[in-house]
Amino acid sequence: MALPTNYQDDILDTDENTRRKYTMVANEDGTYSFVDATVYTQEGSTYSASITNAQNAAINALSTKLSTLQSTFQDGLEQIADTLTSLGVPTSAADSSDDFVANLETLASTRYAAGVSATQVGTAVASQVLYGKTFTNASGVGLTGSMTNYSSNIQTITCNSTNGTVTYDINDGYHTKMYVNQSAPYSAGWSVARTELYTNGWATYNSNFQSQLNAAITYASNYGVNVSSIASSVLSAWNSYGSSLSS
Amino acid sequence: MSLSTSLKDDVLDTSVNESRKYTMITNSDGTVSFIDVTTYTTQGSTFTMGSINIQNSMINNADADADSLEELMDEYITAITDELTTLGVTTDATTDIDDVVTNISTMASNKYAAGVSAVKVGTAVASNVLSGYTFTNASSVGLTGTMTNYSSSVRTITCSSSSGTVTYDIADGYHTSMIVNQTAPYSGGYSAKYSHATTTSDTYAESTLSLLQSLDDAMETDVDLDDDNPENFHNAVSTLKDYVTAVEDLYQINISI
Repeated sequence: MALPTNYQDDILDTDENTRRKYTMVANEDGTYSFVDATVYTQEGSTYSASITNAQNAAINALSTKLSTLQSTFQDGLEQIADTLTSLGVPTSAADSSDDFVANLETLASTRYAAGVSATQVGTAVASQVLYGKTFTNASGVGLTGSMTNYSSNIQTITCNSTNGTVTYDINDGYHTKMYVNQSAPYSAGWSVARTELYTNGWATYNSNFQSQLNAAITYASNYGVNVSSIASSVLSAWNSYGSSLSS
Repeated sequence: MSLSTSLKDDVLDTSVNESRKYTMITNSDGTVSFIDVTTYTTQGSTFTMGSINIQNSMINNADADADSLEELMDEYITAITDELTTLGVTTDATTDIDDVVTNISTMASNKYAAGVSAVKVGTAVASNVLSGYTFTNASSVGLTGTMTNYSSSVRTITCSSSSGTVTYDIADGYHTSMIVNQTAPYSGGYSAKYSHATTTSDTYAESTLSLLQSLDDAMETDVDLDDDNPENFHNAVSTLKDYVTAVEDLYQINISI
């Protein structure tokens, strides 16, 4: 409600009168009444109880409005305080503005920490993760795996000469293929066969073979026949046989 | 305190008097005073300087309260909206209270997401991580590795019979040692030597036997067997042949192990 602001005062017409003038009327009962006979250039507004009533009503309304505003403001603070409390940071509308700021910062930091905590999960350590791959575990973020990847860098096992099953340590890591150098057991098997055929075979006959051949030459010679040349070829062939078996 | 809004004006009893009436008293100093003797149907309220003082006091109080409230509101609103803006959710003093509350929740959500984002880091996938161990990467949280760990379940490579280096597929996974069954290459080498004797060495045996036969025949050609049979010579050559065939028998009979 807006109060009128256009009330006017009386302005006397000073050409006619410099002060208010009244006609005094003598009443029958001996009293007097006064009739305003002033000449005005402006007739003033009539001030009545209703104007004061309107003023008072406006002041009362203003006071009420102020209380309502204060209440609304308090309600707003309570709404914010309740929100902070519901989000885990106990706050009262009676707290200071500094407390509100501090609690907002606490909310920010606790929620950030909650996000970190919910996400920073894992038991794997670097040696359990392939080299070059990154990961996060409970104690670290963006860690890099250190387990060597041998899938494109195939490792070689060089066998010993054992006939049977042998366990070999290899480089710890991720493997998909292995090179196996089988030469030693192969050679060992070959060597055993060579011993059987050469050492325990041809070589055991060699001495007798040569003496028997020399005897044959001598026998032939006794008959006047010279077989030295062909006997030489026999010996050469026999030695080649032995040499082949000894390889 | 509430101001009265029921103040009344004087209402003259027009049946008695049309105008206010005063009794005029002549004072001793020559002045006159007037006593209101008007008859009223309603006696108006008395409005005094005290009434104005009360009005003004109310106005002053309201003004002071308004100033205090304005200052208090400004302090809280500025503090809260500035802090929200600092924390990443732009908010100003004109923002509706419901929106401020929404912005607080948004800020909380954003901070949670920022916390998640800060640690949700990684390129590893399950197959890159040892089985039984958990990890977080850029797209998921608490994944479990699937790479098989063969460190205590050592795998066996069963070799082929060949010599040299052979490539074997093994179970993809984490290995620290391998069992190698070398029986086949060992046997392969053993058999290969026998095979070599049969296919290569034996040509020398046959060559030797052939030459021994030639040696034997040479005596037949040059000696008159009827007069002087060289039995000792032929026996010697026969023994030589026996030596050769005895060696041959080793691989022709014992061709495999």
